[in-house]
Amino acid sequence: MKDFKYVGTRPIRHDGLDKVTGRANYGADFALPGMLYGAVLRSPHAHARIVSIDTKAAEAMPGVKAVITGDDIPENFAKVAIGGEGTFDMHDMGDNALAHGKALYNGHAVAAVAAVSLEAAQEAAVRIEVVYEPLEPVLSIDRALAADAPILHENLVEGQGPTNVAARMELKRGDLDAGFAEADVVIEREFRTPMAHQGYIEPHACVARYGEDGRVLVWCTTQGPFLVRDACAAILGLDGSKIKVISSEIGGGFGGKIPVYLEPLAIALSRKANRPVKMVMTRDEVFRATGPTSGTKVVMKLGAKRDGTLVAAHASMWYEAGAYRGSPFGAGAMCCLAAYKIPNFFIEAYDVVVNKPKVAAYRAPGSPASTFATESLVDEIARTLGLDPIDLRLKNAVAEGDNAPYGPAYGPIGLKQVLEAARNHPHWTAPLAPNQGRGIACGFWFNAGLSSSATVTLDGDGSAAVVTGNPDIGGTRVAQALMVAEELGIPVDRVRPIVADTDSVGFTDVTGGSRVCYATGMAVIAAARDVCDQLRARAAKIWDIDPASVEWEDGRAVPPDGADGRGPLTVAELAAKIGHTGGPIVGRASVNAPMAGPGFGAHICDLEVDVETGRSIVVRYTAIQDAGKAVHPDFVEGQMQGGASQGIGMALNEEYIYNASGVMENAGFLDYRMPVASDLPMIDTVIVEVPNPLHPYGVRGVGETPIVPPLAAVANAMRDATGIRFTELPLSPPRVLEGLSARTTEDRDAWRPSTYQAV
Amino acid sequence: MATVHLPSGLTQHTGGVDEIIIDAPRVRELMLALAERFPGLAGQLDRMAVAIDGDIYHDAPYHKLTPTSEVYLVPRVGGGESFDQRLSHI
Amino acid sequence: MAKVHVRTTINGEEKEFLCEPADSLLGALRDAVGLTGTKEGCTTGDCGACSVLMDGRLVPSCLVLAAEVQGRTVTTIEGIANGHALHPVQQKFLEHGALQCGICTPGFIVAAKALLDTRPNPTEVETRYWLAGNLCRCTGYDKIIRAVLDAAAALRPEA
Repeated sequence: MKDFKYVGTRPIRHDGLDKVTGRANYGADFALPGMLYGAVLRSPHAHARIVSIDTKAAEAMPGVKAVITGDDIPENFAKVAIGGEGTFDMHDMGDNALAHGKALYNGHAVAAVAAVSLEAAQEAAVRIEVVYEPLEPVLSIDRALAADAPILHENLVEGQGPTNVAARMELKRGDLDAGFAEADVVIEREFRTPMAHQGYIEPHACVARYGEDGRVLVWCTTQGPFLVRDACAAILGLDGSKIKVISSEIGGGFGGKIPVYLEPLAIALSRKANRPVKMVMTRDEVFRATGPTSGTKVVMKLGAKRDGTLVAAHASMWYEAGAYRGSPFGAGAMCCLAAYKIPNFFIEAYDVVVNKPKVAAYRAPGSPASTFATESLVDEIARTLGLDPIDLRLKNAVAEGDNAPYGPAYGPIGLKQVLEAARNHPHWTAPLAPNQGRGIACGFWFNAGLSSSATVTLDGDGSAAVVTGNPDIGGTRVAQALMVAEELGIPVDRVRPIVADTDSVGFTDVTGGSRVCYATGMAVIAAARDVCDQLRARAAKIWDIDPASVEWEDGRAVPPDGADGRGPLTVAELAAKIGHTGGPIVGRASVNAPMAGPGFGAHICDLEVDVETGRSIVVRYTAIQDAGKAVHPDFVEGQMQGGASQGIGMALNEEYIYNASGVMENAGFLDYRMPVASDLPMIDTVIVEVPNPLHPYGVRGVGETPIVPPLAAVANAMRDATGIRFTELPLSPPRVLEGLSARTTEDRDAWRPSTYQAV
Repeated sequence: MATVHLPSGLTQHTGGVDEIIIDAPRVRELMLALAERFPGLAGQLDRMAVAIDGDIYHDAPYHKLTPTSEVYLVPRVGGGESFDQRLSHI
Repeated sequence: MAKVHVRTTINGEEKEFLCEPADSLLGALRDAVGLTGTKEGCTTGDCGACSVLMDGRLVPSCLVLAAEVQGRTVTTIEGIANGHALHPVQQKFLEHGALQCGICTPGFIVAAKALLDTRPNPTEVETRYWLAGNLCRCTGYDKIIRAVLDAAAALRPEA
């Protein structure tokens, strides 16, 4: 592999100082002169027809400057393709931003107010008179599928009768019956996971100003400023070229800050009031009205031969989409068997609408829930056959040339190396104390490619700026700077990484899909190489020789052999002369990258269970992952540790709890219990590097894979500690206690019916 | 020319055919040929990404194909978001 | 209702501001005083992003009334560094890569300083429990805990 000078080192991030001194500006930290404050009125009902909305009393309140309802955002039934990639349903996103005709979940925005103070706006919002006709809410997959279920959308699927099933897909290979006939052991279970939220600490926030000339400025916290621009244009019927989006620093996203919620409302209010409008969500609103990940039901059957060879799998899965179509059911289907060579399988997946918030992407969307099923069953098969769970996985693990369950053959992938690293890690053989158990599980995510643009400018002092369009959620500025440093051969602190607004950089897809270091990195490297090519030409000009004869080596232009008295010229030397050799140098590049090389991970979890209270705590944890090439290892480890922590949260405590009316009962951080520092041990990491041939340095996406293994790693550790196979998450103390109390009965391994899911 | 593999959910539109050799210089012509051969596929193809020799592209109509190209139609999965999950009943 | 006039000391400087009786210290710091380094994550005292020191004591500023700081001293993230010299906790956060998105960082740094002010040699467990009132969703806490323990070591006089 190429020797790197800067890539793989751990410099301090360029935006670090601002972030440890409180100077960095996040979504809520921006203000404009004359700014109004917005507040949203939200539906108290989970499912209701909106009979009428009377805004007169609110409009008459002191300080109120504008009130909007769904009438101010005309429904856009055109299926608008935005972002150059795929399609978002702009009708649904607009209807989600402000309801038309029907409120589809508790928290659904029904009207919004702008006033001179937040208090005035909030007081006015509650004076808006809405007459609802409450309808029976659909709160679970089982209810949504029932023959007599209330229907959320009359025309959910064109040409079909009333249904809550928005879509179905299937994947298959081989002969399922023959496969199961070959199996010596067949295990089938039904698994459930509840809705869970990304839990970013920064609530959604924006300021919008609609100018007299129709130009719009939006400052907001988002993973995709170009997506905000294009979505607002489509939802409000505006000219996207007149919208400029400035992304603030972003306080976490994990997929949840891809859709727009407040931005179209703030623009519409600003247009009506002719003043800038600031809107900030409360934590309660973030939980109730932004997109968590799907609650799921997965029924899976797995068959293996006595030697551990997996021979057949059958999976049926249902993903809650929330109020509008579009759950990650497809990815769930595609990911669940991605780690194993299984000659015969059939997978079907369904997208189901329910009266809960519309789900958004959440870190490897769809993969954790379906992989929880697979990795639990693989563990159970290993136990049944008396095989080591790593040996069993290695025996069936995919490698280069094997076909993924969704079709194509894998290129170079690192699953086997990851599993070997797990087996060789001291954690795997460390002794366990009483009431402790150990579990292991694998995880997979595709890693997205998509579109990115970058420019690299060289200054006369030999420093460089690199401009991209991806908000920096977790250290991507320093990663891009490292790549420029590597190409140009200048120290990383001589590179200034800049996140530009939508008017100042070429189109760039969202910060998401583990794509920034990979795809935007490809654009950055190409732009830096463009600078190097121009520097070679400048050197050739100075030397008065053919540019093609000049090499670029280790940050210097090197003349051909025998060029008398012409020593190599460094970037600094060439930069000092740029005025004399043709003027400033700007490198540019853009890419539309294919999906990155898939990233596999494996996690080992030690869990200690308090049999008196049912509380369990992770006492040791190791995350292992193929990163392709770790550009800045601190932040690769950070992604692995953070993803593991979120997955542990899903496994142990996190869930949306609804009452029978469909009102979320735990919309706050006290009751929606995310891991805190005292809940976790240090999270050891092992970075495996199997280079990705699609990236010049071998980079793979790393952000998403680490949330996939923890669900089963924790549940497998629970099985090891207690003898009980839990198939429904989270493993919160009441559920664990209930399981422990059934431990002596014959059916202790049987599927445990839902204890929390409203039916 | 390329060997095209269709996901099982699409074979209802192809009379059960799940693998077909198509003589097309590029992805665009391949898609047009597929839609002509199997009219039922026409509305489905724009919802699919294409994997060409293992690499998955979301938008590559002008990507050149070779006689040995292995093409798989796969559902789109996007940048952290399931960009197009309107795979209605494929 | 009439606004309340508050005279207080923030980050070593005398400050005066007007606030509503119901305003939180968090709101006053961010809006009336213009110190936006203190972050709002929940307004219910659960996330710790708004942590400040009031007379040296760690408090969530969202649960303190602005009018309560009359005559007291308040230290926010903006007052943790000594001029251009970063506090060791800040420096170690940078060196350990102990932040990803950075929204929780001001609260963690204020809370960690409060810990080390009173307990210069904390164990990992003590540090984890002290910081249990601060939520971080990005890091899994590993690098944060290492940074704080390393800062404690840096702050201790050579034995």
